Amino acid sequence: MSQLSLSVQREVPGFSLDVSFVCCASITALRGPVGSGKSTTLKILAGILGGTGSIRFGDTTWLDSDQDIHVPPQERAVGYLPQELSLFPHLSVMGNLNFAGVRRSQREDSPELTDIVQHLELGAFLDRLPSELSGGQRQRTALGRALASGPSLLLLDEPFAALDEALGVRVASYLARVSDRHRIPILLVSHQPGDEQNYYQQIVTLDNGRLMPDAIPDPADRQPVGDDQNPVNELSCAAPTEDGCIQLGDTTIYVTSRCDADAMSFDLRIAASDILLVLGGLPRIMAENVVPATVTSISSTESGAHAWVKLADGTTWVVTLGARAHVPESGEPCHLVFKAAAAVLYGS
Amino acid sequence: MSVSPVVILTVQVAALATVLVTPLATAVAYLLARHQFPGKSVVSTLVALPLVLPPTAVGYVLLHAFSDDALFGAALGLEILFTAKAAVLAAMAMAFPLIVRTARLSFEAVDPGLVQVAETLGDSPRQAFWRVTFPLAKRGLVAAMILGFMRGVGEFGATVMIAGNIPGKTRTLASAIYSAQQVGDDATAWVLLGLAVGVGFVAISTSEWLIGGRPV
Repeated sequence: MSQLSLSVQREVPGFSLDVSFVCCASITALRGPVGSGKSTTLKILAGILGGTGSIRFGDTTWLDSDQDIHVPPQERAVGYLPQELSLFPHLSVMGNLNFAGVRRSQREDSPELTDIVQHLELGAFLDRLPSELSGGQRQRTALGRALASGPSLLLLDEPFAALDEALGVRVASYLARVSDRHRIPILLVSHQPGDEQNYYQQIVTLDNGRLMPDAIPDPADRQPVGDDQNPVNELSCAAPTEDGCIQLGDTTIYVTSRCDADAMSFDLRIAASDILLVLGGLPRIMAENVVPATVTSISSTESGAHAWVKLADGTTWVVTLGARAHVPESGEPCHLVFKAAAAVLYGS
Repeated sequence: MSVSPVVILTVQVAALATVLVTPLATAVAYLLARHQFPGKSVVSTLVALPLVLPPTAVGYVLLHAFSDDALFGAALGLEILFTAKAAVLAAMAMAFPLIVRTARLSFEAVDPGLVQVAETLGDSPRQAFWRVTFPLAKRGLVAAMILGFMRGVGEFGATVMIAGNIPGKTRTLASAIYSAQQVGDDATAWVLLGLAVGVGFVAISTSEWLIGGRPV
């Protein structure tokens, strides 16, 4: 998945924005109070608002004010959902969804229109005009238009604001699938988080145009992502070997590869709930991966406990323990057991 | 006085003037609505000036600009003055500010955010104009043309200055009413007045409907 990195500044009377961060997850949420610069950041990324600094997406430079590079919005191929939705009032829902139909047809592996219509539940009002829609319908249409534009990056300003909780979660889960399946990173602004925040893998917090401390993720020290209940281990790793394995230190890990042929960087993802933690002697196990580790700490929440373990290569992983499972002690040696199907390798 | 040649000439003059002046007026309106440039307020004021000047003053300027030995008259070699062409010119000059004003409002009423979104969806600024701005401003632009046309139909002061009031040649509705009144031909004056009211009524209500009742 292409990585988005930015360091942008913008000065207007009464407000100055100066933010730098790297989106290393597939869904990154921008948070912060009203007027903290979230929407402004998104607009600068979309190319519709001027700013100085630099923006890089994958191996292309969108903005570099030192070198006088400013790629216009129509060449950035972002799917942008503005907070005010900005549906084209003279076009039906279908007309809005198809506005960027040409670009969609040019990009391989774009989300399918029928899929978008089905998952965003737009089918019942495709021939209506925006003025005939409810708030939630308008929001889903605008989101659908961004998804249907053949985007390489999605910039979504408050995508769940007008949706009820249950629908918001369904839409968030769909976005997570789209992002994974089509390798489209998502940067979204979320003002009032609800349950859909379980899908955010990285959270960047702004306040008054500046990044809040500890919001800057350090790619060298990547911690498990996901959320408290369903964390996902995500690790940078080297390219897979010819037989589809990767090496983490001395350990060989069998993986399911979902890499582009010309991928340059690789991420390994394993959901904490897909790993079995085995203490003591190993029985005969029919799983591809059995990795030695040491328990470093246990965290318990109402919904269950997680064990944090350290592997021989120094990386920290998290493993979900069953609600009624035996809880290991810190420092106990253990093995992590998981199938290759659970270890998914992404490359970009 | 025969009414039909007057009506035919008036409609021809106003229609031709509208068609000729609309492209320039629309371009100026778009420029004023969407772009910032040095001297914009001066341009905006100059463009609107004919709306408030006495039409005879505008006619006087045109008279001097288009006489055979003047700048435009000599350069163009058109022999315009006191022909129907001069009536078209006068109607163009008077319709221009009205079309600019109405068209500018139509462009300004299109949310710039829509154009920005169109650009993020892959449209060049030109494509975004034709796919978003133009379709949304279209009704207002047609209304602007109707108002410009009506300004041409009613034009009197500038027309009399540069085209005269020559029966069968440059006499339009407005000058015909004036002439009928001068010679005491009340019957003709009333017929012409009725025609003017009818055309005006249809035009104003159509343009009001097109721009959705917004004041122009």
